[in-house]
Amino acid sequence: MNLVYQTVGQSIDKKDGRQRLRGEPLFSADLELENALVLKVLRSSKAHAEIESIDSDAASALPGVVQIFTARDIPGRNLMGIINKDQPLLVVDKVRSLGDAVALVAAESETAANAALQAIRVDYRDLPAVFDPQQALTEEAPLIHAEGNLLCRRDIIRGDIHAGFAAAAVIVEQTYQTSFVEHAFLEPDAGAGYVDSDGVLVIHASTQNPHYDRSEVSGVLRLPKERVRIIQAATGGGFGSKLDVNCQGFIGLALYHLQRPVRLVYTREESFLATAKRHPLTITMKSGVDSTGKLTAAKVRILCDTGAYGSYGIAVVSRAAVHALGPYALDNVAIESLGVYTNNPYCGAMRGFGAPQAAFASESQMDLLAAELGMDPLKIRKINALRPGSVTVTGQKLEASVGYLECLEAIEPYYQAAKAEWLPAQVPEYRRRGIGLGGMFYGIGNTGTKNPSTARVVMDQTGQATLYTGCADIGQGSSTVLIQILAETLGLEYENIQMVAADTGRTTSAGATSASRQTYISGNAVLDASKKLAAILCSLGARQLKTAASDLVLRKGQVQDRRDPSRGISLAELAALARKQGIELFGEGRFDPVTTSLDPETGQGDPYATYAFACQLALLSVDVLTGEVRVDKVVAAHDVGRAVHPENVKGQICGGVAMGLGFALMEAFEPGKTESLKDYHIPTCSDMPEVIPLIVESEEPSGPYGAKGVGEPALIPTAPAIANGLALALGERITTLPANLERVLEAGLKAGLFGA
Amino acid sequence: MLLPKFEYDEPRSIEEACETLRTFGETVKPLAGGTDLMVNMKKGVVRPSRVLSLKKLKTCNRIEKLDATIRIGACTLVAELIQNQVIADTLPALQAGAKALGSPLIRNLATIGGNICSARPAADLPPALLVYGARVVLHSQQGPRTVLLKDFFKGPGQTVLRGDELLTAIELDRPPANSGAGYLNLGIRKVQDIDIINGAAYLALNPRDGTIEKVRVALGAVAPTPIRASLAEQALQGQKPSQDLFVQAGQAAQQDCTPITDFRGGAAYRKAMTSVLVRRVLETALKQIEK
Ligand SMILES: Cc1cc2nc3c(=O)[nH]c(=O)nc-3n(C[C@H](O)[C@H](O)[C@H](O)COP(=O)(O)OP(=O)(O)OC[C@H]3O[C@@H](n4cnc5c(N)ncnc54)[C@H](O)[C@@H]3O)c2cc1C
Repeated sequence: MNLVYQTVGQSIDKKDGRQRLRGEPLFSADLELENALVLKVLRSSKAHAEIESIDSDAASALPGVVQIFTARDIPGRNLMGIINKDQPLLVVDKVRSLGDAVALVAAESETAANAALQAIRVDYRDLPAVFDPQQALTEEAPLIHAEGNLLCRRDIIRGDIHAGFAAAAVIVEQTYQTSFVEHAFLEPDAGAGYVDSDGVLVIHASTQNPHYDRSEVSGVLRLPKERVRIIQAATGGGFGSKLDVNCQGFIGLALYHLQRPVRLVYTREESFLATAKRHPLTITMKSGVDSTGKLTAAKVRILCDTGAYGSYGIAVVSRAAVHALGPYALDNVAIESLGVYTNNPYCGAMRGFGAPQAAFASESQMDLLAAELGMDPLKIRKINALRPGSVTVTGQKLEASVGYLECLEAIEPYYQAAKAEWLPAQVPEYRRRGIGLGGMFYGIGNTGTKNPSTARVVMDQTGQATLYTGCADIGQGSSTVLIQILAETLGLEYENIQMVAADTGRTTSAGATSASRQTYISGNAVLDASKKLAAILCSLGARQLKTAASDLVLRKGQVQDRRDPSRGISLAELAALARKQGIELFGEGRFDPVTTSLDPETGQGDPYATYAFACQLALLSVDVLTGEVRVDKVVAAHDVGRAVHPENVKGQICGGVAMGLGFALMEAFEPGKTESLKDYHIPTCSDMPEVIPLIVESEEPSGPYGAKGVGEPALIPTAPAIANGLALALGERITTLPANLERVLEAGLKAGLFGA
Repeated sequence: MLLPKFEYDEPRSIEEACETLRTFGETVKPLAGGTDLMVNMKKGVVRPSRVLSLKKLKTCNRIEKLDATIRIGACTLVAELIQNQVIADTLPALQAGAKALGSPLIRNLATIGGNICSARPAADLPPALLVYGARVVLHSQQGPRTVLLKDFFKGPGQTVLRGDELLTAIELDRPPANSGAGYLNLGIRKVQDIDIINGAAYLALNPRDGTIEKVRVALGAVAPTPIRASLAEQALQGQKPSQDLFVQAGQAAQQDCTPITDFRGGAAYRKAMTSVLVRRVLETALKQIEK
């Protein structure tokens, strides 16, 4: 079914792109509210300590200080978290990590607020702290939460690993370690709010999930949901961190008590200190293959350090397990994935939810196995690739849109050329070249849980359509894609479509902008809404054109007879007619992907309705005397089902490669040390390789116009591709990320390359 | 984050500037490009009540080629060090240092004087300046005094500059025909980085027998200040340049440094890299002579 579409598949102007270039959209920090107070948060300087007292008398008496809030001022449930609620808005009797929120200051000016922060006296009594997740699981470890340090576990058991390993010709086992990673989005967290004339607390914020924010803030304040309205301000990136309630709760608390406009803008340092990080994972993986290169068994143990709070930890633990072995068919597996509390900074969602860490391990294993067999790394991937009809480790049979082999085939010419020409080229003695492959699959949407989206399309009396969606576009372009889906379905010009997005006062929930789900899930909700409106328009048109509604299509702003396009009636005319007849023109849509929850013991089930696939090839060179790595080129093939907006897809791929490169080579957040972008290094344009994005379209039957998702998949294969390239270049494998100068040099030394 | 309040002066002459410095003493801070000062003021690390802009000091932003010396005004922009033909022709290692500094945005603001006076152990310009034997001209109401750059640094952020003094110029002898110099830096990313280590070397060969007549080696980020690597220099002095000799010099340089471990890099790594860097900058210097 390869129809020609009008807007789907076209890289139309990005919604609000011009306004952004002109600097017009208002970010939270830009909102000018009359007479607004400044909020600042006093943060813990201890990793684990009891609070004996908080003395804010002196601070309260300072000029310009309006009020200082502590946990006692919270009227509702002082616990937050989207999956499990364990994180207080303001700590009650103890702090569990550096940066925990201890008190909230409201003041007339920034200066006054800062002075108050200095003047609040907190008496701490230090508690023993634990920073190693393995240690946190021991008997002697200090308890971080009363229920114990084990947050959760996910097991996946399938087949018989003993038989599987017995059938293996080669077995390799290795432990992999990744680091804490900071999202480093462009816009530090911010928000501003006021109380409107109906007494509703209106909060504008930089967020990825306004509807969740509303339920959390109303819970903390013990207010009915209708009394809180969250509006997403223009948002400068999130990458998962803005799925947590960061500023919104504080703003709500101050509004509740003071009934005066307030604003809260994190500094970069505060955003580094006090928001979630990517979970560091320790992954021990044992894998076996038979002599033909077919995987026979795998045993995996994953330890996820979630730091002081759960945030999205449970999702990361589960997703890391499901994705632990990559896009390969395997009958015998035993995977154990544990989420553990420590006194480290709390970890949450970050682009990929554990899949990038898992891919680093599993793709390294694929190369190790290939090397042991003397087999080409591309070949072993092809042999084991999931394909239509394959069964995943959770026992899910994949029916359609399984484009991994197609991705491998798209990469192959580049791979063969690199192997034949680039790799053997003459380079100075101290340089070594390497090429590496990284593959991945990624389940779209939440893991084995409901995650519906809704949408509403309304047509006014002139035939103009407006889309109401709760979906927060954080820069990735979901608004554009949703408008394309609507325009395509209703045969409208996309330029004329109005949009109201991510405002809990005016839109219904679209769920989180996470898990690469908005194109697929909210796209389907918009499709559903648009189709319902289309049906009304066709039935109205049918009466006018005296044909069966089933013979009508929506095209070019008209309802037309599909056999004779000259027979048509404009939507403007139909809309006017509908108004006369008192018919409201709207469609309400909903979509929830078909999934089943995973069995608690065996992890078997169908956790996702569809999966994205990808393979990337990295070409790199290493200075073996200094450990410097230059990634020269990344070829990235991504099966996105259908690229509704190809340039957006390419943008996601290039950005994903940048983030993946940082994860692979330089990023490691160290609390108290890497305080800002000065010390925490993310790649610059000078560090970027040439990126060649290859879009693979293995259409997803249940996707809107065949689409799946690409946001997170873009990043996942990069680090493994680089790690495998490094291993080839050095003759020694690096199993701890980031592969910084010292680790690369050390690997070279081990391989005997340091000839200085 | 807003800056705290301060008075602002824009003197038009060095004399006027020195007078202000004398009158207000420790409470005043000179402002050149501000890429270091503004960051520290925002952080509250320094809190001057008066800021003395050097922008209008016309005589301070020139690069002059004199008979035997080159004189670089303290307010010369780092970007200008890259573009200027005199620098490119006669002081290529300084040009290399300038190219390694920050990003285009920073280089269009940052000055050579600010880079020296901020006295960061890892700064990109001092190593090259040290190996060219630079002198700094320090001006107070009493007039100018000249100090060897190698005697200028006292510790991180510490120099011999007195509170009533301004750095006005950097003076260097014009390197002879049979000389060359090189600069290299190492960091986790390609640009906009605080170097884990950097270094420079200068070689002048005896035209008759090709032995090393004059040598200077300098290193950054391996000690509290940029340093001269005297053991490496001793190993090279009077010898005939060769691969082996450069390797030896590199090893000797390891003894010249006292690096620390921080989150950017370990002491052992820094030490090991000293040899590689020293060898490479010596090779660059030699290549220039052979050109
Ligand atoms: C993003 C960023 C990246 C950077 N990257 C690098 C880098 O790669 N390498 C590097 O070396 N540095 C780097 N820096 C540091 C800084 O930019 C440089 O050291 C720069 O050369 C400082 O010059 P300036 O003119 O801006 O100094 P200013 O900030 O104006 O002054 C610095 C200090 O010197 C004093 N001062 C300045 N001029 C004089 C004078 N003539 N007499 C007496 N005192 C004076 C000031 O009072 C102040 O204390 C970076 C800075 C930033 C913000």
